[in-house]
Amino acid sequence: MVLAVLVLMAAGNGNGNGNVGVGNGNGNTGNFNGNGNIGNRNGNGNSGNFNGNDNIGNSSGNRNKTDRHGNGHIGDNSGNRDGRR
Amino acid sequence: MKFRTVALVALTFGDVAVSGWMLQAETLLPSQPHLRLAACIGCGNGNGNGNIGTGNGNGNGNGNIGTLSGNSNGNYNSGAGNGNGNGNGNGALQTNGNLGYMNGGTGNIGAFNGLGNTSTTSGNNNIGALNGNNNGSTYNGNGNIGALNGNNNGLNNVGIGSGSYNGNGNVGALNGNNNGSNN
Repeated sequence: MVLAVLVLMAAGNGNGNGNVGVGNGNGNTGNFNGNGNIGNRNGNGNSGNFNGNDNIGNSSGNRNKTDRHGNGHIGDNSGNRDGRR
Repeated sequence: MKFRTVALVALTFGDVAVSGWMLQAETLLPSQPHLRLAACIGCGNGNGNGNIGTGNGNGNGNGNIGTLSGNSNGNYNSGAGNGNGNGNGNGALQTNGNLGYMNGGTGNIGAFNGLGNTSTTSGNNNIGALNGNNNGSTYNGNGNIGALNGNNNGLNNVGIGSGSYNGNGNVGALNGNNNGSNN
C-alpha cells in the first residue's frame, strides 16, 4: 500500500514590495522575492524563496530558481540565474 | 466713403449696447466672491502620456466641472515621478475617499486605481494611474506611487494562505506586478 501525503505550503507571499525605479519585482512565484530594490529591472522572474532583494543598480537578482540568490548587490548585472535546478 | 462711415457708427452702437448689458448683469450677481466656473464637457483628457524619463505626465486634467473630463492622463510613462496628480477634482466625488477618475478601493488618488480586486485589503491608497488592480488573495497592490504598480498579484492559487502581500509600496513605474500567482 502506497500512502501519498500532499503538503501544500503557503506560497507566493511577500513579493515585489518596496521597490523604487522601473521594472522591479515582477513575475515572482515563490516567497519574499524582488523586494527593496532601487534602480531598474531588478528582482524579476524568481521562483524560489528570498531571491532578488535589496539590490541597488540595474538588472540584478533576476530569474533565480532555488533559494537565497541575487540579494544585496550594488552595481549592474549581478546575481542573475543563480541556483538553477 | 459714405458707406464706410455708416458701418463704423453701427459697430460703435453695438459695443455700447453689449457693455451696458454686461454692467447690468454685474449688478445682479453676488458681489463676493467672484467665482467663475466653466462647465466643460470633454476637457483635460489625454495629457502627459507615453513619456520616458523623469518628472513627466504630472498635474494634468485637474479642476474641470462637467462630464468626461480629466481622463486618461499620465499613463504609460517610464521613469520616476511620473503619472502623479492627474485627474483630480473632476465631476462628482467618489465613495471611500477616492479622488480622481475610475478608482475603486479606498483612498486612491489619480485614475484607474484599486479596481477588480477580490479582497477589500487590496488596491488601496495608491497615487497615480493604473495601480493596485486585478489582484487576488489579500493585501496586494497597496500604497504605490507612480504608474502600473502592484497589478495582477496573487491569482490562481490553490490552498490557504498563498498569494498575499505582493506588489505593495513601490515608487516609480512597472513595479510589483504579476507576483505570487499559480502556486
